[in-house]
Amino acid sequence: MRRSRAAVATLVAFASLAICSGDAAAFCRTTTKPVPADFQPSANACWTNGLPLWWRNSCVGYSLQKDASRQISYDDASQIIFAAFIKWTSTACPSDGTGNSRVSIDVHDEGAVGCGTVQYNSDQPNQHVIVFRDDNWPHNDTNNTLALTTVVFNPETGEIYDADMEINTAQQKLTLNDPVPSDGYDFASIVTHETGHFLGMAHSGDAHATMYAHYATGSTTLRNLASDDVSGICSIYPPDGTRAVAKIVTPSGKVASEACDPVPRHGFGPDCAAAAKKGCAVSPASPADLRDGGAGIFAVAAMCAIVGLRRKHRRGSEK
Amino acid sequence: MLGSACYLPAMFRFRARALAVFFGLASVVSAAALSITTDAPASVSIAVTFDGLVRETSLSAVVTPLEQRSAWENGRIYTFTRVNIDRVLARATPVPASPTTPTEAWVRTMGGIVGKIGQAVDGEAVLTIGRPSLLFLHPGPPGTLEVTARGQGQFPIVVDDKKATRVIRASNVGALLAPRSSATTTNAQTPAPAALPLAADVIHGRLLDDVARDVASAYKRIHATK
Repeated sequence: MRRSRAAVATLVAFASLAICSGDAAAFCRTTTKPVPADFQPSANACWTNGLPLWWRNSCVGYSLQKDASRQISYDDASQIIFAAFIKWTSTACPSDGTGNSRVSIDVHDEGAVGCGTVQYNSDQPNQHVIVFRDDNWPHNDTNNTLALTTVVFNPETGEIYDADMEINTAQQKLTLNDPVPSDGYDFASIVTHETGHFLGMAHSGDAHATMYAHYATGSTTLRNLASDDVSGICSIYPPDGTRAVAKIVTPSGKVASEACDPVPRHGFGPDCAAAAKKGCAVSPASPADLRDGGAGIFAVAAMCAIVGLRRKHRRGSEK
Repeated sequence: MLGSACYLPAMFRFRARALAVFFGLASVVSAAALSITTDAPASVSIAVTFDGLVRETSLSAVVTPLEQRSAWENGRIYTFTRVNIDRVLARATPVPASPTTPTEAWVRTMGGIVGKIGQAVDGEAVLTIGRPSLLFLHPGPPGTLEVTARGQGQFPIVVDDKKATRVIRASNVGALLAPRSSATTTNAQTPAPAALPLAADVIHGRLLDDVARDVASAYKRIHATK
């Protein structure tokens, strides 16, 4: 199911014009290097080591896992997630003299998928999946994590290849209501924040921004972008159709976007691909595999090398 | 090999020469067999309370990362960090016979790099070689520990201008929401989390010795009533 959203986009674009005139510059971009624990941010200081992330294509698809949640139906979730993306992709930026004002990235709902696994396949079809975890949060910190977005990218360019979002409904009560009830968390605010990460935004030092790292529980203000959020998304995906990239990627610091194609890299598949190359990791699967000098790993690594070289010979490497 | 006083069994120790061969080959293999991609997750979490953090913890210690190895597990990358346990603040098992005996453990965190594929996890603890942190830990998969509440269970150790050792909040905890009155999973016997101070508020900026005292006291109080 793809949504026709021109009317909504137009409305949101005009609405966001009202807030894009601010000159705040506290926004930050996610980079290829994680923020160290002892980095001390300030209102106008971002972690800038590594390369900033960006989507190359002018369209990005996403898919909601078909089971959605016992707390939030597929239709409700689909509508709210779509609205969250629209807020980012319909943003109107200050005029650049070309006559265009809207950010140069679009997001398409590719419909329901069966796969609920967060993974990136470098040689098989993918989904940019959004999945609720009703029965079991598969990661550490079940009691506290509400949502987790995983963005796969090329560390040599910062180009985003894939993004998936997991929402913890196993332990937490999410709500669609406004005002937010005292025992719940606002789903729309969480998703609007996470979709910012999906597009390459990091946390902002602006306390009014949707991308601010701390916000008041019960508030629904994060459903709407602040001027700082608008400045951020406009800087990554300006209306002229380029992407702001690190100058080691191109000396100009800009890369032209590609024509709209929301299909994920290596094709779209509604079902999970079988475990492939990632299973052939060259590092140990656990510290236990390292005992006795890692002889078993050594053999596996050698096999991986042979298989990998054959694959590379057949298909060429990931661009 | 690790001594009997070590927190984890000696299964993670290995020969340096074999490792050098292994990782030398690994780098070649990874370049050839794996594509150049990295993952960068971001997260929204509920701010953990001090009592909640201590409750879910079986070892609280100041550690210094010594080395790291990353590996794929079920489609995700995890990093295993061998840490030296510099100072134990509280633990579920008996303290080693000699407090000065070097102890080590492997801490498992989401994210990392395997060859030229990686995963950097926002909201996850980020352990950096040589930089000490106070960690709140619990058992992970066999042979490993995990940081309780992910990045919220890590507090970097810094030395201030007066040469005093202090504990600060980590900057990589992801987006945080204050806990709601009954939204989080808690022991029914405990007060509502909203009424309890947050871990970062209790610990941030204080002297390590003061934090150590409070953690030990809270651990004794909370785990004694379990």
